[in-house]
Amino acid sequence: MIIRRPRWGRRVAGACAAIAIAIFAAACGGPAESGSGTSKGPGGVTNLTLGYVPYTDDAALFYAQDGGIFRSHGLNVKFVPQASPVAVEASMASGTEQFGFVTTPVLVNLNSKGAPAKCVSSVDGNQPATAAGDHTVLVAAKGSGIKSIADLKGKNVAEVQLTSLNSLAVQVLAKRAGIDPASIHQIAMPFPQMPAALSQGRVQAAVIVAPFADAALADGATVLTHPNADLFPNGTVTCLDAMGPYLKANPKVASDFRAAMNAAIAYCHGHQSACKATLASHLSLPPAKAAKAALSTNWNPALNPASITLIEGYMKQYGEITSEPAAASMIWKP
Amino acid sequence: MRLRAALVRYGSRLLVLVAALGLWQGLSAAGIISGDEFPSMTATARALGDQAGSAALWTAVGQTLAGWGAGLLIGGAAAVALGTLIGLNRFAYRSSIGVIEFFKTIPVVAILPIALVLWGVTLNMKIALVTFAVFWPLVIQVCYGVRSLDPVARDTAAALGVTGPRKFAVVTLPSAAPFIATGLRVSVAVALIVDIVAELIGGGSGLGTRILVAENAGPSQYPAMYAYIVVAGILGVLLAGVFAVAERRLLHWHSAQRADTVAPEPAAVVPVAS
Amino acid sequence: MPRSLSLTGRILTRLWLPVVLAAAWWVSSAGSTSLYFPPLSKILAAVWTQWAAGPARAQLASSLEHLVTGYALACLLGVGFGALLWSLRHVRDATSPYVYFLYVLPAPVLVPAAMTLFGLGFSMKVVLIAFAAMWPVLLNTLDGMRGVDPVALDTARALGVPPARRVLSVVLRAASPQIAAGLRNSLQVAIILMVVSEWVASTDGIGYYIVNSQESFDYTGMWSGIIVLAIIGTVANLAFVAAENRILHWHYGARAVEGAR
Repeated sequence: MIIRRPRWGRRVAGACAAIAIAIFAAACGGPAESGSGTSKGPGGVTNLTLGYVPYTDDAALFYAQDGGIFRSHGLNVKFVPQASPVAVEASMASGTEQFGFVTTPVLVNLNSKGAPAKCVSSVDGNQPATAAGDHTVLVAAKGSGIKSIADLKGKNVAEVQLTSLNSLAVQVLAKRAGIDPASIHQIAMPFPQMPAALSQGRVQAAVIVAPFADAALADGATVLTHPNADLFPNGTVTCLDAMGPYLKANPKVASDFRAAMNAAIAYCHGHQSACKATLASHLSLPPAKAAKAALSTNWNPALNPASITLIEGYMKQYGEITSEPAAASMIWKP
Repeated sequence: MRLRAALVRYGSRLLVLVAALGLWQGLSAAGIISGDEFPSMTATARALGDQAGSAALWTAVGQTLAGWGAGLLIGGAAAVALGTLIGLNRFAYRSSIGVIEFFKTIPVVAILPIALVLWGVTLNMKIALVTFAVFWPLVIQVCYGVRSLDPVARDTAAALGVTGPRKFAVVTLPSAAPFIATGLRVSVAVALIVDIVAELIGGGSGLGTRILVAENAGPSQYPAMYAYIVVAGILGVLLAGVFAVAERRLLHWHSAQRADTVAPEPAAVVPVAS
Repeated sequence: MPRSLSLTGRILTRLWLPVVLAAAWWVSSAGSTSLYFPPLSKILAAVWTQWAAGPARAQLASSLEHLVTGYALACLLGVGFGALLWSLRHVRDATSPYVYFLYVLPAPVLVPAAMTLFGLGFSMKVVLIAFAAMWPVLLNTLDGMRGVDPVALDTARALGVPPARRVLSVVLRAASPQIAAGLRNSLQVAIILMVVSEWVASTDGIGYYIVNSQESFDYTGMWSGIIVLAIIGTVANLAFVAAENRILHWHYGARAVEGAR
């Protein structure tokens, strides 16, 4: 039985189906919506969403919410844990988060590429100036034979990220010690995996923070230096930031945020155990471990532009950025 | 006799489980695996027990399932609808197959940064990624099913004058059903994996985030981390099991479901994404 | 039946939609100043300058090396274990839920364990790729072998064909279309794991390039990496389909599936 079907009719139908596929393929190409995530709660409290990277120096930030300090400044902050400051900044671009945790190199990178991120407040104070207060350490593995920075030539060094403060510090320290930074093999790996990598000899050195540093030191690793205290004493190496357009539209929220964080940091300075207790719930740590958590801070919440300029200079020197925006433009001014 | 066969089967499965767990604990106890790197079996079991009693685990499971379910529903519905349309029309198929195969090769992990920029760390981001991962392979599988019309059935329909929508409902769709079912079965696994990976690498809330937080908290939390990983695997097996039961119920009439026939199960054209 | 298209007609049919989509992307992104969505022209330029003619070629070579080794291993182990499990019915029954458990486990969660056990280099990546890509092959081999016509098998047994030869000539041959489908899936899984294994603690590879670009906010580079990945996947797929058609032509000829491929 011969069934005649109109050929062109079928082709048009087919083209429509194919175009439906095309529309589906292009469906994710829409521009990001902005402004979602901010809302006014009951009693005029502004609801905010903040992306952060879970680690012990967030204690003051957690306390600001849990201890009611944000609320007394008219804010209610929801925390969203993320894997890295890069992921935080990307989410802020989508408009679903208004504030985020950022490290200075990431902040500089963004601004040098045209995205106007600005520091609003410190996380828990600036970088300590002395080794005693600073819990980021450059360690050498047991049996690696490394006694000084100069011995790092040709070795594997683990850092949390290749465009981070830690990797920058290693390069600067290497240059100071007289060796070529490019001769060091920098390997990006999350902090929790560093102690094992050190003890198994896969890397010979690492820049590692508390509490993971404890495990490495227990395995016999030796401390070479405290890179941040060495290079950026009293510097602003992390901060809580927001995007320029949002800050321009919401200056009161920004100033309330800054005031609240400064108050929280001051409180935590005097009441460290109360602050550290927040780590138990937010980081899922046993309370005993939370109480003993190490905080790397000098408790000074004033953002330090000179240190940002210094870090920027190094980043330019090592080819990570091509333009250097002014440090002042990266700190929010009311 | 049937009871005995069932007992043997479940008994041997239990035996395998006990042996594997025993081996794990043995390696930890002997120090071959150090507690700093990988938790012992007993520590993980204990953490699992602790978590099972706490709300945190079940909340996380719920959040993961939310992304999984919504993404599977949207991606699945779109794939079945569009796949059928395309499968029925040769021109549409030839036009779109290149585009579909191209998008199918993109690992979800690679577009995760873009998803973050578009939707942030929200449920919508997870749903978008799950939909993306589920859609492309499933649409191909549905096409394949619709086009694999048994020639005998096709000719019979033509001889009996069954055409158009009636032919679709009565001949084409039932013939394609096992292929669609296979595709959906694999999509169930793919959707869960993509959802957990989106949480693990991007952030948000759910099982993947719990794993990330536990991993970042250091070796003291490794038992909890691996407990969550085990839960993720068990969740996958359960979901697949539920789906298999539903498939058997709904497609019991098809020859591919009968144990005594020769027809092999339709080839799974769909990969596992991660 | 509609008249068959000429070769030109067939090529045009397959090309018009991809061309239209690419043109749409090009035009809509042309003046873009967004950090995250650069113009397509810049992205394609990066694909050329970095990947085709530039420094990223070494990354590509390194990734492909891991991919090929891991995939080959996955295929051998998958078919081998699949055949083994098919012949040992009780072992298969006892282990099937655990096999499925390992199949659905998201591979990225295994990266920390893999790094602990195998270090950071070649072996870790190959093992991860092989481990994850093994399961589709294994499950499809098992499925395919189960679907073998029992009459053919009994005939072979009755004719006194030795067991090993039976498996090879009768069962594997009959199961080969399904095994081929499994091998094809595995290729895609292997590519995904190739990227994931380079996401963390790597110093080279496409995955490393994409992560590094993303972390330096070099989204042009990141997009170029995604496109290169899709190209690799597509080329691998085409090569696979061509090989499959050559080797299994006897099967596709026999099946009266309406123009399916």
